[in-house]
Amino acid sequence: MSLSSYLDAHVLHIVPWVGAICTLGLYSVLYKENKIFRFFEHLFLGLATGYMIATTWNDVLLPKWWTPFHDEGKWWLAFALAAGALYYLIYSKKYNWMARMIIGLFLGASAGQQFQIFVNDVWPQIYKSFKPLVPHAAIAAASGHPAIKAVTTSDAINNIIFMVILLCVMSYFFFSFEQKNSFLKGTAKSGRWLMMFTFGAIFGSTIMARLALLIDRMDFLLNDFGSDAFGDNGPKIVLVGLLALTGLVLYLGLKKGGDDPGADVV
Amino acid sequence: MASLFVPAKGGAWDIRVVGVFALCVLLFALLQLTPKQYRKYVIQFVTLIAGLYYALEFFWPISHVTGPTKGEAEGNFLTPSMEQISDWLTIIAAFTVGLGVINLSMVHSKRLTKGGNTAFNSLVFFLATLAMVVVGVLKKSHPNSLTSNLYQILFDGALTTLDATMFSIIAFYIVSASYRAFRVRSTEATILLITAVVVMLGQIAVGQALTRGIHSSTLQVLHFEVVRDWILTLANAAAVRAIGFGLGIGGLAVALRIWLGLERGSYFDGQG
Repeated sequence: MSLSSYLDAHVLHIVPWVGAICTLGLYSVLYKENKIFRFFEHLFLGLATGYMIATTWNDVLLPKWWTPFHDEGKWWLAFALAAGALYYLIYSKKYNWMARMIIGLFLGASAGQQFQIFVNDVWPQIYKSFKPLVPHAAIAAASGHPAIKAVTTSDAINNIIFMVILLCVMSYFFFSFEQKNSFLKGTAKSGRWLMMFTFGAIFGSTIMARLALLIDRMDFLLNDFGSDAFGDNGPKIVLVGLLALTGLVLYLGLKKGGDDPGADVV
Repeated sequence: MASLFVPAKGGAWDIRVVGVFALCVLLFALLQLTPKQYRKYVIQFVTLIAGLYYALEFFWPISHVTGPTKGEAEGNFLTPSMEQISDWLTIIAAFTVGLGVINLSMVHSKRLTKGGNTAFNSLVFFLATLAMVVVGVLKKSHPNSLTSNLYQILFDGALTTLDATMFSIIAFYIVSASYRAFRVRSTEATILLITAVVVMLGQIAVGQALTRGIHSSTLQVLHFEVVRDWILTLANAAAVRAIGFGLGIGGLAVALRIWLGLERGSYFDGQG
């Protein structure tokens, strides 16, 4: 049986096994730093590096550079190779200033694009930040003017809160002069507190996202891998195995003296 | 000028490519003759020209122009070349992939030659990189069941799994981070953690069940999911927008400083 036909027949079983081994290998760090974790960490690093190289070649350099340059005869694309090669002069003590030239080209291009980015991204938000602060009934469309939706009392209160938060947080970012004015000091301080709402919301959402990934991994181990490896009773068998592993880790952790098992990794 | 840039085949292509490289070597040799004290001005000039193109394209009055690929469109005399220049910048930027690879290879080849405990892991790194590059490139250039299956094992089986697991591990350490933040006991830390708890409770069934007992229509605004929605769509949106304004204006100021060569620091003041 050739490798090709063997893989054709077994790839759907190999993938969950590889996935389960990789998952458990990385989770072994939850007990403590160990050789198995280091092995899978380097495997991840290597695969990610290889994937980045392959994707850059397949999606950018092959269609945009090599095919037009070599296959279609667009010889002037050799200039792009020469320009790209300038980056590598960073390793030369004598010529590394030329690498700064190509970096400068990209910094300049990014700086030039900032005008467009600012106008496209920030201006519409400035416009949309002017919200109605007084409740009013709906206004019908007139010639040259679109219809305006009604603003209820609760809408108006929310809009006032929105404006207060916006102005307070913006006042925190006044770094152009020293904030000596007591009113400005107060709004800046409130702005810092109000920003904590945002950071709290981001923090909460991040925790939920990480937990979703953890739940997804458990789901993979119990259902995808469990069912593939052990049939219908697979999820139960894997669950018992995971609980036994967790118990063993807790036992070893407590036996060690209650040290935080993962403290050396954080 | 346009007649110069005509695709060539065979020997004509070889001659032109060799000519381009010879021209570039000559140009770089001439640039190397620039006295050290003037090199930063050469870099600033290149930065200025690159930024000037995009700035002019943006600020120049627009009219109807005909582009090479999109036909009739609104823009100015610089707009038709935008796509080509973006392609060139993408290609040149793609060559930087080697910088990261060289860096990693230098670190791991040192470990490999030194031997010891870490040598095996470095070997694993090189083998994994090589395997993924070969399989990834062959999957595109020679698509068949073998390359497709090997790619599925390496990508779906290993890489995606390792990626998700690595990030899910953070869930364990975030708990420790929350505990440390709680210990600070400042007003800011308290607001941050209360908001985080409310957002999380509003997102899960257990949290929503806690306030399900509130039936009064007036007090229904205290349901965790309603409070969470209010925080995310109003308080959070306003603060994020204000931070965005700060970032936007700050970014524009930094961009202007870089573009006009006013920025100082080791990169901009270095003379090579």
